[in-house]
Amino acid sequence: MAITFENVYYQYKNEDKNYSLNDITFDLEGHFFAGVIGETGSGKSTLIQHINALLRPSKGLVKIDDFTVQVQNKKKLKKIKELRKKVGVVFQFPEYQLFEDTVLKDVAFGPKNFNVSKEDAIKKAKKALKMVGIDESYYEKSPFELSGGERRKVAIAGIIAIEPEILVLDEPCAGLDPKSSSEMMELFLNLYNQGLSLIMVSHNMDIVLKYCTKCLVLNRGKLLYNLKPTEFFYNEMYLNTAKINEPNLLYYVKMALKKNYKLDVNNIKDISSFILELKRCKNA
Amino acid sequence: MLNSPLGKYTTSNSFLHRLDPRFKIFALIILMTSIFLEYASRLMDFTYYGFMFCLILILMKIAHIRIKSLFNMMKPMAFMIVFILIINLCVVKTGNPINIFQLTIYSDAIFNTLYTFLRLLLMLALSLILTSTTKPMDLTYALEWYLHPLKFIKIPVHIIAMIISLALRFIPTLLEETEKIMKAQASRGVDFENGSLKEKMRAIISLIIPLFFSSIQRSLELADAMEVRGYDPNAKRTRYRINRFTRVDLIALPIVLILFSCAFLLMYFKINFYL
Repeated sequence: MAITFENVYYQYKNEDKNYSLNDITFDLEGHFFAGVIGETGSGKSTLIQHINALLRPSKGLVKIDDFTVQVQNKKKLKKIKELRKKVGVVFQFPEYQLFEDTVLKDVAFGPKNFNVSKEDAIKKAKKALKMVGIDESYYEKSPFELSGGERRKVAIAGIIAIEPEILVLDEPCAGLDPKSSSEMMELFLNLYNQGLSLIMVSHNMDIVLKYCTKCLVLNRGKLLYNLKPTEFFYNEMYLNTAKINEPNLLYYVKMALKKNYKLDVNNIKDISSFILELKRCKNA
Repeated sequence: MLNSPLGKYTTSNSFLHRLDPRFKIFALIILMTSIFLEYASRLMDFTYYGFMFCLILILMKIAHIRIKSLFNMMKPMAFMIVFILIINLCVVKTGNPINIFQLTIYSDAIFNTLYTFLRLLLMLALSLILTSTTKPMDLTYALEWYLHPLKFIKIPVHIIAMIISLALRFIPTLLEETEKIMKAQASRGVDFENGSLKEKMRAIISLIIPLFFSSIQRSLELADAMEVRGYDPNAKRTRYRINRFTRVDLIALPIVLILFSCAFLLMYFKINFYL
């Protein structure tokens, strides 16, 4: 699994001279959980829409394994469909994309579009719903009678059921309560451990620090950094240049550092790893 | 595909932008009527259309509207014109017959289509000028003003005006929403461009249902937000901007009236070219 961006520029038609993406070059290889961060309007959503050819670069090219997305590359439809099967995108507030009369049918809609037989689609749908924690009593309900959080889970199951190799998430936790949000993240971690590669846009830096293995930092359409989250977040200068607020955890880590704890920050990803690190220092 | 069919308002401070929207609506109706009048001869008709077209181009220049937007507006018309041409060719059997490849075509069929095309083109161009020089809100206020007399037969004009202005306000939002849902469904493998009729139907359903759902939800939220801020549909409304008939209108009004009178006289007295 490899994603490569080569000097990608993107310009929305009505804007003059302002590039939403400005000379983006990076590659992600192997098995990754990448976080895309940056201020509002820095081009995060534009970037991820290039990964399944919903948008095509104005200049440059995007490669996903052996698929190449280029300027005005009028590829045959079948190929784009293959690409969209490989890369599943969950947009912001995906609960608005539900439309079928039952939950099960809606989740099976995706796989059916990719030429999976009806029975198999239902099977995949049930598996996906089980993963996101929607139990059988919901299968025959209308998606419109569910709560917002449940609808979001169903919508995400709708993408998981397609069984993509890369899952792209645009702020999957926006507007969820902390409990559902951490359940959601555990689900994604679970998928990652099952071999999926993920790309996630997020404004919650603590989540990015905890879960991501890579971190793409955007600012005004330019890619500033492509680093490990620990390398990025524990560097004050990087944070300032990218105008990114530090994760809440950092406040406490800094306090501990001031008290002369010899912490190895590369190991600190969340509260539990922070405590482990503190213990290790105390024992040493 | 997702551009609004009529032009968008473009900010500027041209002569046309400063006109009173009520006057602009009046002028639009008057000029459109003059397009639909029947003049003494075909040559006369086309001369008048040509004159109107030049006038429109000048107005567009004054109002800083790009000619391109007129072409963009005409693109969706192409299909309709071809359709009308075919119908005309089949139905109209007057005028000079012309033989092309064993088919007999009557000249009137072609002229009829040309008439429809030119009239539509001029009409659309005039409305483009109106919509790109007038803010939607001003437009609804002007409409409300024209509907004023209906108040006497107990029609709630100001409520209707509010409904219209809300509807106008939500067109861009709805278009944005449509684009978002289309993208989301496209990543679930829906193809909006190709496929059989049945597949297309399904594609459209997958777009329309979420759109309806979110529109209804949004309108409920909007109603709540309005009530929270004390909106009372029956209260007398005041507004921040008041339309005033100004000097620019005083200059423009006689021009439009003279133009229309000329057109009317041309028709009434069947004035023709005497060659």
